[in-house]
Amino acid sequence: MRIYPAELSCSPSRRDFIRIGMASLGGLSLASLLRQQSVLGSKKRDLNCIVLFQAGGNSQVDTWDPKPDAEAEIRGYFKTIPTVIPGIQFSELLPESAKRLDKYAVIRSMYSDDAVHESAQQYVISGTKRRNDLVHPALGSVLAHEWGSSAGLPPYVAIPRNSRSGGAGFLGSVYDPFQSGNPNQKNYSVKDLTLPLGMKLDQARARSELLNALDNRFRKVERSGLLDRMDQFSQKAHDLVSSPAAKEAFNISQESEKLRDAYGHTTVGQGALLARRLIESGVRVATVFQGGYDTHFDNKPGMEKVNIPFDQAFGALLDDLEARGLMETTLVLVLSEFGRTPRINNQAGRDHWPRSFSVALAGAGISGGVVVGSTTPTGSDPHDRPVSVEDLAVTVYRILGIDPEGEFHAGGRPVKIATNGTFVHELFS
Amino acid sequence: MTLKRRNATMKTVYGSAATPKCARILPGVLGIAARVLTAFCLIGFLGLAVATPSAASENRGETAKPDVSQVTEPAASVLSAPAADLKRIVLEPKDLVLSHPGATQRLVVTGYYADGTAHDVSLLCRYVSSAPQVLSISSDGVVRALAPGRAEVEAQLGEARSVLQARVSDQAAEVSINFSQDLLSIFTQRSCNTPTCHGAIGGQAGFKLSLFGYDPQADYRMIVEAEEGRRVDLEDPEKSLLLMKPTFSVPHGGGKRLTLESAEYETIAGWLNQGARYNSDGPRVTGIAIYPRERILLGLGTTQRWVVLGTLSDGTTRDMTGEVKYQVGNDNVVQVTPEGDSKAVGRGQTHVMVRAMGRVAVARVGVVDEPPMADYPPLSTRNFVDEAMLRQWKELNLVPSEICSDEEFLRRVYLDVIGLLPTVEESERFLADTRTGKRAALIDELLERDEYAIYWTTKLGDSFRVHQTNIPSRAQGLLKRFIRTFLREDRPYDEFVREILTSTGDQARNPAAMFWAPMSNTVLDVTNVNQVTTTVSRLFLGIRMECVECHNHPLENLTQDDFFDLSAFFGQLRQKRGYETYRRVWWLDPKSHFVHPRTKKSVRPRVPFEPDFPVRAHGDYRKDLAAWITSPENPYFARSIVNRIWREYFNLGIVEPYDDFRTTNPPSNEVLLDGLARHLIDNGFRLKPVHRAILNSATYQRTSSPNPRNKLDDPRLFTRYNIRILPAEAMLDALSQVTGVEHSFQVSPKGTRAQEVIYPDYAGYFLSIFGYPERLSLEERPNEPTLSQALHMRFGDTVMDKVQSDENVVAKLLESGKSDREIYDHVFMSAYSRKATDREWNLASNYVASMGSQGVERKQILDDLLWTVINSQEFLVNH
Repeated sequence: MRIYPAELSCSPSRRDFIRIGMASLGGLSLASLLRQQSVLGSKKRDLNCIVLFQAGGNSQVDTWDPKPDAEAEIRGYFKTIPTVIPGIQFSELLPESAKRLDKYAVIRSMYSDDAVHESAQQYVISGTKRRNDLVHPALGSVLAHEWGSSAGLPPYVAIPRNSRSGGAGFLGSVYDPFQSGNPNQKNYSVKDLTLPLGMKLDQARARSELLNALDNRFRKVERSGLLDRMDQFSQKAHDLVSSPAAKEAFNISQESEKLRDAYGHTTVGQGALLARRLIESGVRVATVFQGGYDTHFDNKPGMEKVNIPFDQAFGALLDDLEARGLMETTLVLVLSEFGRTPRINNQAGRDHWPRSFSVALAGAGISGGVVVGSTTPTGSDPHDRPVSVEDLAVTVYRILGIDPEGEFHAGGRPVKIATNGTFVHELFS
Repeated sequence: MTLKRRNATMKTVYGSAATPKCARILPGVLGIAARVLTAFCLIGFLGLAVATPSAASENRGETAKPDVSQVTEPAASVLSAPAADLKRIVLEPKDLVLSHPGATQRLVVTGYYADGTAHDVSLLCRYVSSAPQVLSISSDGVVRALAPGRAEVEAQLGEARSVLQARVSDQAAEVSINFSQDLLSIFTQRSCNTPTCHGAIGGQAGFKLSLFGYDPQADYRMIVEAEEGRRVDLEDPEKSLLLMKPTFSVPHGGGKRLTLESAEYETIAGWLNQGARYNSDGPRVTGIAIYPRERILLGLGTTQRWVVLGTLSDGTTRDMTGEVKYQVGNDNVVQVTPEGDSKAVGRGQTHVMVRAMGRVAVARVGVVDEPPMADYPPLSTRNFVDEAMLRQWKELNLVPSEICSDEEFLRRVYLDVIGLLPTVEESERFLADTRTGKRAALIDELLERDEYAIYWTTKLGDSFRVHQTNIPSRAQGLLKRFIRTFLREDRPYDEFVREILTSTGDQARNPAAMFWAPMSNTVLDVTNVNQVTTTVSRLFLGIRMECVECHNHPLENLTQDDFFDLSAFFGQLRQKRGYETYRRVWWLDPKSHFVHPRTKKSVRPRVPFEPDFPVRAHGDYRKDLAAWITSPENPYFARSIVNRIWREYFNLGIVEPYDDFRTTNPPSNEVLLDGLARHLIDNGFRLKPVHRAILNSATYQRTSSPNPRNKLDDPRLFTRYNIRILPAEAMLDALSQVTGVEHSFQVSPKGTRAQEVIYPDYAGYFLSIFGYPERLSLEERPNEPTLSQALHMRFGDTVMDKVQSDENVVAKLLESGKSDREIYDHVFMSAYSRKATDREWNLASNYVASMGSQGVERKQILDDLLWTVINSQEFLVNH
């Protein structure tokens, strides 16, 4: 499907280098320039990626980008707290995140033009606008396609399940994420990797042999590539279920109670912990979809319900990755499909607002404490350094060592992995 | 630039090609050797000068004018050709208008033999020019104009004769090298302007060419004017970057593309010598044709020459054989050199496509590895579908699979027509029926069932993108009902499409208007006209216009302006909110017009391909568009819907992708496609007659199991039924039916079938992993196997809840006192529409015995058997 991958360089081109060089005159120190080069320059890299996706659209004004001086209808209910970086303030909903801002970067000047959940999510997580004819693959699917699996585990896992935005699109369902089920459930066991209760391995094996006998006869009569491919997946399914390593990777109960408490006993908390556990075991991309951000009514309780668990999980994840020395090799993204209206509506809620929103990025060499861009006094639009969805996508792919200009062949023509964006170099300043 | 220089160029073309051509043709000729040739006369390969005048031979026909003719002896002589075998020869092209003395044209001669084979006999013929002072001809079939006038060229082989008419004009006393014609041909031919090179949207290394040369003026500016003209050096042409880059005299990212000795180099240098003029006044290519149009090659390694004739705006013709870009649909069948010589490399059928100056031409070519069978098995043809297939199979020497068993047919036709498995009772009744014509009767019965309309609504629902994202669930029900009624009552499809394309109003009152919803932004209340254009052309014409949105079509004669002209039909379409939030109202604003994004002027609507089709000056333009689209004369409308239906039955369209009709993507069987379209039109655009014709054909009723001859056949030749994984809805319904446990959806009442549910029930995990589409785009449903499917079918809750249920089919049959064998047979009949063989039962009974001895409960053991059946490939695929 991929065309001419060999001709595509995975390192910055000469022209990019010149651009980076020019940027250094405008504020980038030599040290940060070298740092950026070392992050992007090395060809062989072994990075992984964790995405915390705030599905529904998080309110930028109530979280990363508070407007304490704005009128009450905009300012909202939440107070502002200082972060560890002088001069930067967050909403009181994010105390743990505020304490650790030195470990990650925030972009406050993101903007989009899509206000419909499905297509806006798809836009943010694929980096390409909704099209009539093709569904662009999500970041995780592209990475699964480019990197493949390791340690016999699926390369791309969605926790607890896939959102409609996280799919492989035109790459084909082979690159769709494996879905974990909800690790915050009591007695969680990974979806579809467990034998039915009471069935012994012997019985399962005998049952599979009987199935194979049926299939062998059918395959002999039909002879089709399709059946051979189905057989390969059956074999793989069998291997996964009988492999202790795979079950072990999903066995979150092996984590200490203390750590599980630190992440919080919520879907996003245990999800983030499972994501880290999977990355450690050989999964390359884990996306935690946390719903509930769509607060058209009663914004205050709605925001508390989702952002407090998120804040705890994000803080614990940063500490955990650092403690395990995984920070340098793991890119953590906190994404949302759009922001919410700066002005509170007459149902005490906030509605969809693609014109400005915030995202956070950590790990993989990204400089901590950086806040890119700002929004206007009401938080309605980027004020300086606007960053488009395409800019973000190009940046993320470059950080992960994938040439965004690489092409897939889809719908009868070449389609770039991500395009029309420029690298957000401030993330490495 | 003088004529002399031009001649030098042309001479180089053939001079340089002579040696390799000899080498290329040799093995191919050897391929025919067993049948036709025993020796070569190698002198024929030595180039142009071999055309030796001699007296006409005695056996010439009555058209001969012996006193003035020039006879050229064959390049390869035939000592023991089976002359009796040869029926006729055809010399092509038929009419030549050579622009000036010195111009040349390659010819091709095809010999047709009594045994049904055909061969490239260009090198075997002797050629006679009726006026040697006007036209000479070389032994390898290249004519050369010598002086203005008229001449006939006759090819002779054995008793066979074929003649062409040629005129040599002298309008081009000084032939200039034309940028848009000569240079762009070179860029296309040498792949400089492909999407991966300088034809990319952003160009390559700062140098951008239009994709496959669709915009000659932009290319000219880029080469001659951009960056202060650094790419051309008129003082010292050979120092121009335009020449130094492709010859790798200076580093070039694209490598070496031209040699200093090549004809192309001389042409570019000549153009620079002439002052690098655009020369747009010169003749333009108005069309290209490839000869022969169709050929079946016998034997791997067989060669075939292609001749490409360009027609120019000044009425002359031009040999473009070496100037076009060749592409082959499937290069496992045939490979082609840039000079237009091809070789058969594998059995099958494909197309050779040529492209130059924005024009395309296509030849169909097949390869057979043995002579046509003398004892081709007698195959019954039940209707025009079978006749069209049989003709193609015979030609390609293919023998299709046998007619399938009643069991195979029964299961297949149920799944294909109504998306459900036959019940055990239905299967037993059909299998016990001994009447002839029971298959046709079943087809009629199924097409009249409600489930036909329901199931095919899910397929049309993909096209209409019936989904929560686009259409709120309350409105979805209305749209589904609208589509279902159309299918159930078999309303004419043209009428249905006209109703949709001209719809306005409140979608709750006129569900047809919901067609516009997926192309609208429901938050901003704006309809995206470009998306409307691409959707309409794709769904109802089978033409993908997405790329024309941004640039002229690289493969078709479609321009960006064609796209805007089509968009203009929808320029008045507006939407607003209705009384409730889910209601949208579409209306026409007579004051608004589609505005050209560049010129900012309003665009007058015009239908593609037919600029003179009348469009009203005021009012609803869409009515005229709908009339044009749905007209029986429209070559795309009927063909695209019958192709879509065919593809649902055979998993592949006659044109594939099924909604990508292009000259460069020709149908695998044109006669079949036209026959189906004709059948639709003759039946007043009702779809059921088309379904009936396909389903009753022997072609549809062949087994999916291959025979020794067709197991490697291209699936697009339909010599057997193409198996595929069941679509998501059919899979879930089959699972519920075989296990006897209805599926519990979130909202829909128990007993609802997957093919009937609406949002949010279809957002379930099971349906999504089996390819239920999000319907965000017009992309096809995925139907490839995945790991998630394998895991979920084996261990997932959807399956386990049914297999282990205390109320499943096993529990019910145990209760009624059935034996293990009876239960196994019942499950087999339910899942496969057949009984278990004794061997299969033996394996199963061994399992029962072994588990029983380990103390596993009988219900659980039989559940395991049920599990093996629903996880088996025979269950998971339609075959």
